[in-house]
Amino acid sequence: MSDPRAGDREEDDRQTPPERDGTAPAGVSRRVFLKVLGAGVALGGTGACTRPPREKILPYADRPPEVTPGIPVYYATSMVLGGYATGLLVESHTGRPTKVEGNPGHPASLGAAGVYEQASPLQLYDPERGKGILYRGQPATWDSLQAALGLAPPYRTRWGGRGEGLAFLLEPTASPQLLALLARVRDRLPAARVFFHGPARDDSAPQGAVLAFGRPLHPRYDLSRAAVVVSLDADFLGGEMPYGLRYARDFAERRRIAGPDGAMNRLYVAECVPSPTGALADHRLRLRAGEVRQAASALLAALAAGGEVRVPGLAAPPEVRAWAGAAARDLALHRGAGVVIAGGRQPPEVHALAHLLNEATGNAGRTAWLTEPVLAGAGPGDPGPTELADAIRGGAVRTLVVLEGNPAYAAPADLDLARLLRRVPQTVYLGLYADETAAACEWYVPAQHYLESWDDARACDGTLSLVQPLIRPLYPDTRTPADLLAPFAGLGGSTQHDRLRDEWRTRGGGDFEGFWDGALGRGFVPGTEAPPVAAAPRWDPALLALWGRERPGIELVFPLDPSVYDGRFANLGWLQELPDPLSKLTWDNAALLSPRTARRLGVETGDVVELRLEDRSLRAPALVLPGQADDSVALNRGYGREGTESLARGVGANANLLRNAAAPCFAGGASLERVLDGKGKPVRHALAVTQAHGTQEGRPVALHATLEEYRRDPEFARRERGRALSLYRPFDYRGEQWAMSIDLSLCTGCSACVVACQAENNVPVVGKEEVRRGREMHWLRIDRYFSDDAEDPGVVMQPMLCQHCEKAPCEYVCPVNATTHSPDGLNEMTYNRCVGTRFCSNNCPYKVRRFNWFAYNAEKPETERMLMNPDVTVRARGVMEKCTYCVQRIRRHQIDEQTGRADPVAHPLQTACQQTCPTRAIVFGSLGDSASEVARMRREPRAYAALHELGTEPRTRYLAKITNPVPTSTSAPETGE
Amino acid sequence: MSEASAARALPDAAPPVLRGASDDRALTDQLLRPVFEGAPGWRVLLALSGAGVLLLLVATTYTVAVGIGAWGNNIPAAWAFGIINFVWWIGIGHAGTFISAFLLLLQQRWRASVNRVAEAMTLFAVINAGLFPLLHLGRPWFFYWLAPYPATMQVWPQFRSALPWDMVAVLTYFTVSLLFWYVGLLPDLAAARDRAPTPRKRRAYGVFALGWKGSGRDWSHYRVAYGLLAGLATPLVISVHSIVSMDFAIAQLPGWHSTIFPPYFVAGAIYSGFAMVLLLVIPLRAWFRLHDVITERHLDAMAKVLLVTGWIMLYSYVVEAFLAWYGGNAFERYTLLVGLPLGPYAVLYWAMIACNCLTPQLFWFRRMRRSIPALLLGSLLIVTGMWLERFVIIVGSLSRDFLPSSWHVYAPTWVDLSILAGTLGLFAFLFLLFIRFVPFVPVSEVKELRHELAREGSR
Repeated sequence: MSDPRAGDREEDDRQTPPERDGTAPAGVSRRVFLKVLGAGVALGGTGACTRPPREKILPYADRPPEVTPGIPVYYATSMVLGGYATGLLVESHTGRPTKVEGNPGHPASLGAAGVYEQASPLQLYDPERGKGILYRGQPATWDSLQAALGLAPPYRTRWGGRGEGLAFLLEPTASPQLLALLARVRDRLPAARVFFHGPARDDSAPQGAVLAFGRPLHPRYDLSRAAVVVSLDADFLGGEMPYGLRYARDFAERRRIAGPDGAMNRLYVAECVPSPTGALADHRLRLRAGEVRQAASALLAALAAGGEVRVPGLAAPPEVRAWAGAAARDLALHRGAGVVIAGGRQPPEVHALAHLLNEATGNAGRTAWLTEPVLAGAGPGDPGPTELADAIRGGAVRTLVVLEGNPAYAAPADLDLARLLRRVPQTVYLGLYADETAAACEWYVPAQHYLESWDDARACDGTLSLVQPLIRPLYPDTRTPADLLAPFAGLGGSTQHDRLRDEWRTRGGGDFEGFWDGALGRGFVPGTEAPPVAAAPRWDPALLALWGRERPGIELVFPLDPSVYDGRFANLGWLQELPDPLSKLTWDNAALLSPRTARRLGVETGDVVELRLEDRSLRAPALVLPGQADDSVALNRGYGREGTESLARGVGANANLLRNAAAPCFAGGASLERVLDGKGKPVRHALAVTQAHGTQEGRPVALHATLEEYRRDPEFARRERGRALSLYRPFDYRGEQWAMSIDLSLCTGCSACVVACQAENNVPVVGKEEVRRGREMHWLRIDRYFSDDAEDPGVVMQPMLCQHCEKAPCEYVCPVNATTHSPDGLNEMTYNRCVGTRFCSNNCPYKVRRFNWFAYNAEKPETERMLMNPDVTVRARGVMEKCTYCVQRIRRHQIDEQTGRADPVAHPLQTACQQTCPTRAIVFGSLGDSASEVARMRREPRAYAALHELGTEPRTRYLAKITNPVPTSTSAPETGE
Repeated sequence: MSEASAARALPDAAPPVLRGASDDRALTDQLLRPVFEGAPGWRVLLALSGAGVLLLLVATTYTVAVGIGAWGNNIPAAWAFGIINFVWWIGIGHAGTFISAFLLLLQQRWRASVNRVAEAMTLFAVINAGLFPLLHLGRPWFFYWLAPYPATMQVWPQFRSALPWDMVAVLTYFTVSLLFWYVGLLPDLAAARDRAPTPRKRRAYGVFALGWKGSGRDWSHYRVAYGLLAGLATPLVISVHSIVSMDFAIAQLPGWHSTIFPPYFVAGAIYSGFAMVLLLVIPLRAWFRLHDVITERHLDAMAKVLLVTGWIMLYSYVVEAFLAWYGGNAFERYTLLVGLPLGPYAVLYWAMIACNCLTPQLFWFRRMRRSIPALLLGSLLIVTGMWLERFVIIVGSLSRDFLPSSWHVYAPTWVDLSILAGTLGLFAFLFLLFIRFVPFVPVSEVKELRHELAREGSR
């Protein structure tokens, strides 16, 4: 209180009553003293009665009708990756988006979501996102940017009024709104140039279509009708291929067999780098990426032998001819029910050959058809980064607006874009992070996340999809690409929402509002997929003339990373810590070598090697991976980032530094050698690999058999199931009996379930050092087992999570009753009661329990806390945790059932892993209902319990992996393991 | 066997259990001298071990502050140094009670001179051991949840687990050992009181002597109490380590899940305990020139115990491996025949075999049993070997269990190593305090022994 005398008496008294009358009188009597003392003590007590500040609070009485605190709501939206949209449903808790699921109605999702989609909410809340507009690294404003661009008062005539010297660089896009804006910009500024760059920009597929059809048609496949699938280096089951979720689902529906009499499709894969698709292959051909065309032409030759197409004799190695011969026989046998898919990495000839093969085997128009291109900017005629580099060098670019994509990092190194960008007088970059491109540009505008903006897009099949915000932009200065383009198109004043609605107003006929609301509710407009186009491929013998000779030496392959994509997700801990599906590597990329090549070069896993291609070189750690093609080294893109993102920076090696604009996906003629230190010892790099041991050691863990073996002995898994003897009395079960069945035949190892589990259950990220120590926290991991062949092994993927044993070994060793059994068959973990002896983990034969070694959740940034699922406890230091079968979903479902709110059709009870699984390999439900899918799968003859002989009686059952290679009469009977 | 016949049964070549003691007074003076006069170099040693205590303090404070993550433990090796050290220390703690109680009941006279050192060692080892079950908890502040107390939530411990029993067993053992040690000390504390050179010392020893007068009544009560405690302590020697072994044996982990564990662990405990007693007694004997009180006879007897328990260990190793093979369980076969002897910790496994199985064979030879360097080196190897054995059992088995996908090696951190070194420091620190302030050779018992021997000699 500054002036005790000034205010009202009662308030002022609380601190200074004795001095009220100024100095004390000279002669204070005892009586006066006691009076003042008494008053002082009495009033002193009122010092505690501070008056609260006058602030009005209001109850949440006028809440929006759809929001009930504690009950999440779901909105439909779409995420765009590689230019194509995937429809999503986003869970929102009182205005905070927390979890992403696939949109069951959307054709590109069918309810599934991939790794990138699952991790995307983390990016929304990433505390290192760009927050404000920067000019040369200093805070600036939108108005100053507009003024600098001459788009705001004072208007300055720039670019000759026609857009001379103005250029845009954006990612290939199918967004109708963005394309309309671009058209308007071109109208107003006809001399402005538009360049496209992005990982989705692989010219080879459109170029291949040009070779085959004379125009860049877009290939589409219907795997649900394909009995034979031939993949030419196409990882259509993995995460990186557009429409992969849908392809995986369609493929799985043809692969799922209910019993030994069922039918299965057959998958032929010719590939260089082991992939989820290769892991499911029935016949996998291991080839250098540059030799895949050999396989394609051998396939054509084998078919031609049947008189279909004339192909000059090609000299292919015997194993290629054998593979091609088998595939050709199968394709011929299943005319119209097969499909040949060429991968994006492969050169145009291979795509053209794939079109020819589909035509030759009667599949064109049935399982493989064509549409007009959906994506703008990915065609052979569209100028790309090479043209941009030339334009900059020629001094033709004076103002460059870069819309996302981080080209300074992601473009091939020979273009030298990072340096060229600095030569442009005026550059503007829009990106989520102040990354490498932001550092090279004059202006930086932080981008909006798709969960906070309005936009539209198209799925790979052309379906019109809406991007709907779930939350107001976290940072007000963020913009979308359309926001940045709009002023150039003369639409600077309108909001995202209005602009989008204006653009869409032309659609939907009379009742626009009804159409708009319907589209928003669904997230997409049904019936807008691109119609098939009839076209017949020409057989051009010149195709074979395109066959260049393989360059000698090592071949380098640069796949997109299954975790961080092209580097745009590199700052997401969930994805950095997500083990690679095959190598199980986290927090790094590595030069993948086959065991034979590694032996030949004297390289071991963890050795640092120097990769040389032409005049460029790069150091990266080596990782020996069985199944990789010999003399071929794969290095994933997306690592070695140098932006301001702290998690991404310094992780791995930047493969783009070796890439060529002419051959961006793979190149021959490289060399590799170990890096030695001064003393001649190899330099080592510590890799964090989550699975150190690759084989099953003959243990009954992940059973597998061929279809032929399965038919001969349908009960081959019988020894791994049934009741085991036990000293313990049976548990008193009541109510629903939860259980899970996982079909190993369908698991590709794509790991979407791992991220979904992490997002649903607030599973922390622990960092590279902790992973190296063996402390990753994933409740659900995917074990990858190689079969016998050390060079080219078969692969079984096994999702491993708490098995919810009926006779759980963890329960009887817990000294404090922290892990117990529920009447509905769950093995429950009571965090509050856990003291952390870790005995339960020691006694868990599946090692699925995770321990909070440190307080992993203690220091979360404010924004990341918003991401936490409020239905799941955030675990403290020193307690054990593990998969709960998503008990929060079970209980919510049960509550909804009791309150009559449940809608089992629209919102069936699903665990997070099950819901996102693209192939529906994971099925969860109650055994109480014998008609349920989970109970039916348990009755299949190939169902078994992992480590059955221990008598744990797990509620999670696996269905042995069945592969479907061409039957051989000579194969010896086997029991799957 | 009567005392007399036992004495006669000794071969003539055997050295006596007591030598050259002229009279009671001289003996008392000799044995109480360290208490009143101190010993050369004691302060230096105390400072050194005090540094170890500080290290322990730093490492444990750090662990409690940040979490068990400061250690090297992981999944699958969720137990490692913490439990290894616990079992090792508690094993060492077995020899004291074994010597005092077991040998008292068996009326082995040679125990008289060394029993107090052994008992003190037991106490300090159990104190060290007791640190670990506390420290290794994820949330050590809730350790009391393992005890059956009337909690408001009405949750009890889970008695099928070995851990609550373990806590009870260790606490009981500590309590009984402490009482046994203290009751045995009473006459000597009284002697120290009576001979104390300063009033302060007299008062201090007087308080602890509990008014001991040395009357016949005192002695008769003393005998009864001491005998009862010995009878109580003897089964505890067996039970504590049996229950500790249950921490492993009740699990189904290959390498742990074995019915041989209780006797095997008890034998191992006595084995390492005797080695530790030798490691303590031999330097003490030289330091305080106690060659007359602790003679070659004592060393010889203890070396024989090492030989016997060493053979029990060897037998246990063989039986464990044989049963793994004979039992036909593929997982157990792998762990015991491949994973441990050929796996990532193969070097430690074979070092353990060498230390624990080869070393005791030295003691077939009388010269080795009486050779100071051989005894010291052998004991050191055995103590190390027994630590390695716990490492192999715990970390070796855990790091390669059922699913090959979860196999992962374990490596300790600086905190792990500091805590191990720190407990050695704490042990030495407590032991140095003990020899400085407490008569570490039981004066009354040695005097009694002298009289007995004299009586036998005069007969």
